[in-house]
Amino acid sequence: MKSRQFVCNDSRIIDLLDRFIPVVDSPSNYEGYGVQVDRSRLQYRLVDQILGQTVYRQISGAQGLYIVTPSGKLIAGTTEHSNPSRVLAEMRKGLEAYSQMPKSERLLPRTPDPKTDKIETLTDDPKPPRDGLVLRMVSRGLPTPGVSEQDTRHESFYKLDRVWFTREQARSFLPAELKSGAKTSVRGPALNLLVRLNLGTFIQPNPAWNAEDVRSAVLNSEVSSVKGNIVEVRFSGDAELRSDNRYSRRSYAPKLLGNASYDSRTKAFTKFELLAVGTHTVGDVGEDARTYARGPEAMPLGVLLTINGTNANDRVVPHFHRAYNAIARER
Amino acid sequence: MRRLLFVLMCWQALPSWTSSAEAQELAPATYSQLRVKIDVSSEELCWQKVAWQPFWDGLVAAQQQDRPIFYWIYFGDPRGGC
Repeated sequence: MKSRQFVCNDSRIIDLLDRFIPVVDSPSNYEGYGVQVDRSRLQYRLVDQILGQTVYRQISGAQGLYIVTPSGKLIAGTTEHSNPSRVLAEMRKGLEAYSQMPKSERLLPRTPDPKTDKIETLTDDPKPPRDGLVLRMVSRGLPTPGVSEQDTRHESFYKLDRVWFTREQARSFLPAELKSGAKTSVRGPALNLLVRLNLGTFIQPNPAWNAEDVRSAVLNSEVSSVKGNIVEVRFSGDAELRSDNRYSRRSYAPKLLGNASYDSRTKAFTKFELLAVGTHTVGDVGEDARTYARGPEAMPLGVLLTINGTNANDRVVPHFHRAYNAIARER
Repeated sequence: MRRLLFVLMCWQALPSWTSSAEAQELAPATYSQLRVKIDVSSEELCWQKVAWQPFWDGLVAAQQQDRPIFYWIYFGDPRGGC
């Protein structure tokens, strides 16, 4: 499976991007369930104008790689996210069209003003908790006979997300007393966020687990050593997650293993690794029935959580961020 | 005879199938191997060489620098893997 980052991994495209301003966006920033934005603002009007010129003719559902002017004119682009040659051709076409266009047409008549023109977006404006723990999540199917390369569960396809914990939630991954041999069973918001939103959720169409889907979830933490202010811990556990409703009949039953280093002076994790591996099954209702009719029902799936990176692109808001507050309040 | 041959073939195939299944079972002995299989490689993250900007920041920069915008839009966020 060629992930949607496939085209942008092509070195020819990366080189040519020097001549553009590279922008990422999501239609869910502007329209969809619970999204309320001021549609009179310039940002909304420009996005509406741009996507209105694509084959989608609207914001909702629009996807692709497009060349646009700051004034909102679509001058090239394609929906073929797995075809680098096509994207390259569109980029060149866009550069040519841009150079031929009068400045008055390609630019806005004035500098955009954040006070009156910008809108808050779900994918960029929320910020991680101060002094909290930010993890990177990678989810990937393990090699399994019979899984087509067109199936996003194929091992060549990965899912990437971030997980945010407050400082207090992060501390709950450790025993109260930080001495060698001390143990605890992680509970509460940290475990809920981890399990409900990250373990086995990133299989198309990416449903999070409801509270009743969590049949069991155990994460044990044990201090293995203390050297000065550095506390080493080991994680182990397992979970049984199973949905059984008219939208989803899925399950995931991973074992969990990991380790972490915690600096008791700065009260921050300097290393955090948690690996979940187990059998994931897709059901026969909702989108599962359509999407996975050709592949095996059950296959091994892995989820790896590590400390987030420092690349500019690592500052991504968690996919399920809007559910964080509600889940953190649950017991 | 054919049935016997089939049973023998299955029997021979069993150890490799079992070891493959065991290799995908999470345990201290398989942790490192599974971690590598699941994690993203640097080749898969070449797109991160580019500092992708949110629409607003990109719009302001494009207007100031008089450059075209490469607009990568996907449901969720293209920087995730949905």
